[in-house]
Amino acid sequence: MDDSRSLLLDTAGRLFAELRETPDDADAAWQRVAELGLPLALVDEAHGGFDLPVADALAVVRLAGQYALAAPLGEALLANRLLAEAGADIAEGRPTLAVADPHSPLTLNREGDRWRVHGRLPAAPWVEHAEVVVTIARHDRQNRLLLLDPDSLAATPGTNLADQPRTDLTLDLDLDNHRVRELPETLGAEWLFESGALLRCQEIAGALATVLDMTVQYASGRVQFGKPIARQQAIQQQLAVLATQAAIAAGAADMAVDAFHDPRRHALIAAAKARCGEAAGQALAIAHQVHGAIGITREYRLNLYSRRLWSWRDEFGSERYWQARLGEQVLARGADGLWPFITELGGSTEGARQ
Amino acid sequence: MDINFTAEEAAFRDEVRAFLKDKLPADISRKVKEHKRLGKEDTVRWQKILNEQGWLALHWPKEYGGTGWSPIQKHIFEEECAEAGAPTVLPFGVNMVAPVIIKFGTQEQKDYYLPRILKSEDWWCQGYSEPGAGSDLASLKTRAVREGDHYVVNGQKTWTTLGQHADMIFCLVRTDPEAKKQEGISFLLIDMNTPGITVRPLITLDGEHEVNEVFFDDVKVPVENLVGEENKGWTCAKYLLTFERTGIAGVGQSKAALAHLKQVAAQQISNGRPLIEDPHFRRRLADVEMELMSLEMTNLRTVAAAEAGGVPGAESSFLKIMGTELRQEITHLFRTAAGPYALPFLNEALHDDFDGNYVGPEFAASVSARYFNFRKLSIFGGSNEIQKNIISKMILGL
Repeated sequence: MDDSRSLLLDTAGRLFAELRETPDDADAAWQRVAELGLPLALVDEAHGGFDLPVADALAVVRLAGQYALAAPLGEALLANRLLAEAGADIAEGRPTLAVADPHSPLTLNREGDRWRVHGRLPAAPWVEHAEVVVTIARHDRQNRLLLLDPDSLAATPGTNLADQPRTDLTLDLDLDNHRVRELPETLGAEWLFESGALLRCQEIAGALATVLDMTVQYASGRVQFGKPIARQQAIQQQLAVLATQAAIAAGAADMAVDAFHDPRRHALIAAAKARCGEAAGQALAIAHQVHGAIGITREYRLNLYSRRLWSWRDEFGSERYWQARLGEQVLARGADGLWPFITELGGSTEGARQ
Repeated sequence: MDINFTAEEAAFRDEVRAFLKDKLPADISRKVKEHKRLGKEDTVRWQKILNEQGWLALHWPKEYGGTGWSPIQKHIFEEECAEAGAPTVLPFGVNMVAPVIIKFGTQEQKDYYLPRILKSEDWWCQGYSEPGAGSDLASLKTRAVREGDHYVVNGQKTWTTLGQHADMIFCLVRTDPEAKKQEGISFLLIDMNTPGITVRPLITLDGEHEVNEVFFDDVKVPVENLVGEENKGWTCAKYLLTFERTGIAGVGQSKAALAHLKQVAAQQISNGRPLIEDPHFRRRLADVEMELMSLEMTNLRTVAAAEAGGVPGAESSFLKIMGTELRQEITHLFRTAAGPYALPFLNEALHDDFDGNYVGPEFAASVSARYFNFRKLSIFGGSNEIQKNIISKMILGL
């Protein structure tokens, strides 16, 4: 890790550790995170950002997962990046993003001198707290970024399992031209959905690192039958499996991060999200088993990580979804294409360093 | 041994089925089947119906008002109840403390408590676990000191299921701190309305108030509430645990849940076709069904052995492990079936009077809560790791 990256992670880590004491105050967390400029990490300097390497900016997202940061940093990073790519102003307040179900994309049409958009954006994160909601639609073979005003949307607010705000948006509205902006060909709705999945991979990897720490610590301190339960071989074996799953999630998330600019991202992010989701499920079952009853209370901090991990598993495509996408890509290569498909994914991915 | 049902047993099954069809209130079974939260009133109402029929006290001898049923009959009854959507009987009174009172209690205790338990006049809870005494129950610290005709109790119990409703708690307390840890424990019955008792809720992952902490601060308990001899409570505790583990395989619940899961999977559309036709999901469903079938056979073999006079011992440990792992796996498959609809969490939707909008299909509203809640299965009643220790010692002789 180079110096600037470790400096960044140290600074962010200190802040997140401090904010950990108030896990429910998203507004306060947001303000502090924004003061540090973190939401602008992926924006180029011409647009007032820091133009950090993708790997560095996303390392901060993993850290946010690790400390259970209350604010939607990952969503804001991507949203700002898209605003910059589309030549729009970077949001002063909180930007967020929303995605359509990949099976039912938004429809965008030209009506007179305005645009008309129609469709649903289920479980959009942090809408009520946001200044602008961005999403991507396609019209006439052109990707377009939509800048939605949260106050003008038909919204059903709710939360995910982790009590994080998630709002179902039903769009049937006219948009002025300045709210519909061209995006490069590579940045389509699919790109956004994949990038959302990548954020969740990073957060899962970060949270699992904490879950592993907590569980090892608990098992080392909890004495039953005159010795720490960590001295029981049955518990050690479970901890080893938990550590393996945490390491696998970290590795899969690294792979996905490196694929940010890589054309192979369709396969790499699919594999990473499916595997991170699996890791979350297996790791949490063990973490709870080792913690015993204390782990299932709301007062104990594991619950915060559990509920987030269980949510992140399903957000931006569940394991089933991404396994199916990966399967389609394999099948498309035909019977003789499987092995080349796998080996081609193994090559170096320099994309994230650009 | 024969694990086929006899004609008499089949007739008994029909009788149970007819009773359930006739007497199980529709509103209650609907709540159970839709996984709504049950209130105290629902449980009490159902227990009173069972008691009128004489079918509440499955494990009691007949002379005390028990059914006198054979192990096979109990098995059939439990399976039919699960399938019909009958609520689980609150185990703490009828299935836990009552057998202890019958075996170790005085005549006065039997005369007073047993009829009240049958009539559901007292809601009982269990005072076993403490913050420092979970799997290692015998290290419990709640102290009872004899002062004249009372014990004075100080300490804390935890994970007290449904203690917020309780009128009575049965407690393991330390009466001799000098003795070896199993030998200084006594079994006390304590009125929850006694001054000095505080119940504090512990809200669980799924947002439910199911367990509590119970604090004892100079709580005066009459000595006649001691069951068995002072310092011999561990014998009562162990005796009770053998009852805690009856029916622990949960075969009936799993069968009912699996049938529901199949129904749901036939309706859910995934990648353009019913989920139940998805090869990967089918395979997992089939795995569970095979496991469940073998669990059922193992359970029946155990039941048949008990019928022939054998005492279920370490077998209950593998029933517990297999049974709880299967129930957890089924909740996992429910989450898979619900897909993204498992995600929105509507705590209110678990209440019967919910009239808001469901985000997805109605069944999906409860799947995550149940997945969370069922983490407890592999932890309570002796964690699955403890069960493995028992198997290694008692069956493998290690």
